[in-house]
Amino acid sequence: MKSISIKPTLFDFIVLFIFLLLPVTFSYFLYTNHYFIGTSFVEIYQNNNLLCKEPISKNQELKFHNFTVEIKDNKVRMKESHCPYKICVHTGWISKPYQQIVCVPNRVLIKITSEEKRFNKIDSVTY
Amino acid sequence: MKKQILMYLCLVLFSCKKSYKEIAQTKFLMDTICEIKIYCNDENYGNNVIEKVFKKIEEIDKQFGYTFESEIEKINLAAGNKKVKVSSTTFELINKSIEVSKLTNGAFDITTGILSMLWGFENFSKKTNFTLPKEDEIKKSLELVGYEKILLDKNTIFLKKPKMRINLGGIAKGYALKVAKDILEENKINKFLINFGGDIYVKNTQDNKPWRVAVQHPRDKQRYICVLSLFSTAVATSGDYERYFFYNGKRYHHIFNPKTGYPTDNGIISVTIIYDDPILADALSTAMFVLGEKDAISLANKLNVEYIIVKEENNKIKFLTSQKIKKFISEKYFY
Repeated sequence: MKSISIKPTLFDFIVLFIFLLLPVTFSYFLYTNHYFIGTSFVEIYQNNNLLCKEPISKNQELKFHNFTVEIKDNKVRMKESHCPYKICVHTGWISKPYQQIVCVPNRVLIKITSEEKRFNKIDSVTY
Repeated sequence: MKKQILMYLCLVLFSCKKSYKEIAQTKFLMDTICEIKIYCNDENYGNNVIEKVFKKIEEIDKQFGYTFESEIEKINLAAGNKKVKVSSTTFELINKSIEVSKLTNGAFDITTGILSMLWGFENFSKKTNFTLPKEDEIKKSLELVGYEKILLDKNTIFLKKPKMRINLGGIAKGYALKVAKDILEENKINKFLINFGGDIYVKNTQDNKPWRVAVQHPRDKQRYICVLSLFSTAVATSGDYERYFFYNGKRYHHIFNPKTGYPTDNGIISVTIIYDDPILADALSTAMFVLGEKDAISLANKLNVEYIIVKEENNKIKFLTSQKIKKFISEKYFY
């Protein structure tokens, strides 16, 4: 009987590493709130009218008549608002598709939309 | 060969599925965000159906809102003076509210309208400053609270005491959900999601993919407590974090205890329930919030309501859930 000895090469280790990494990465995105944000947009509405749609990846400050929105590092927030209790400002940063910031007094809605179809996307939020 | 090609063609033809597209529209109505998502293979038809729903919700908004032309305001203005003739929908909804009040031992009560006004939560979005009402003002207002002081008779409503006020804020969104759901079903939409200010109704008899509804964490808008996978049901949440103000470092919110006249302060900070009837779901989430842990759970068990109750005790967050709700939870991040 002939014994065969196989010595693993560096390539074998790389392949093994990738195969081990894949399920870990998959599980991470499945079981956490994280999303890819490559094609996400920030949509800003006032009085049911779309004021603008900007990519979330573009850092900028958007000033409107009675409020200011800041987009930074793939996140968005209501920076300033002329409303009594600033609940919209206290909402803080949002970064995930289907999250939204609402300013009822100014009838403003800021939401993140994504054109990507994900198997685990969230359809809506109860609050 | 020809036979094989024919068979192949048949297979391709019959295996073709209709391509359903997600159509969504969002509007500011009823002082909140209203969102409708449907799956339809005709975009124009789908958008028209959604427009039809929103048109009806605008009517409901006018009917139950705070404007002078609303039937509710007419009832409030005639309090202690005369009975008011109302539409059958207003009559039915007030009747249903009273039924829920009886069912919840008065924890849900639409006559807390006077408290909402006193504490500044009526027309909350237009308020510029908030102060706390005086103790004697609260005591005096409590005399005007009590669902048994509403008289219903042949499509007329009468509030027994002058200055009484009813407020349908705890049930109107649920009613709007029911109306929207009925219109979508009448128009043969088999997969839809309606979200009116956080109260949701979902339906899917089209495919086997559930709707995924996240439950917001009451103290961190960036996070979700869990994600629910649902087919056909209502989900409603009542919490102290959507309409509130801080005064001297204390949070004052809009869900009043009809027995004390103060915003409910029993440790509960949010209640999310799953229940088939959207009107009851809306009202019961408020009632369970007011009832407190023990009575809320006992009511939920009696009515087979699935729930997630979030409590804040000594700055620690505690989660209480029904046994069966676990079958709806597809992902959980807390508790």
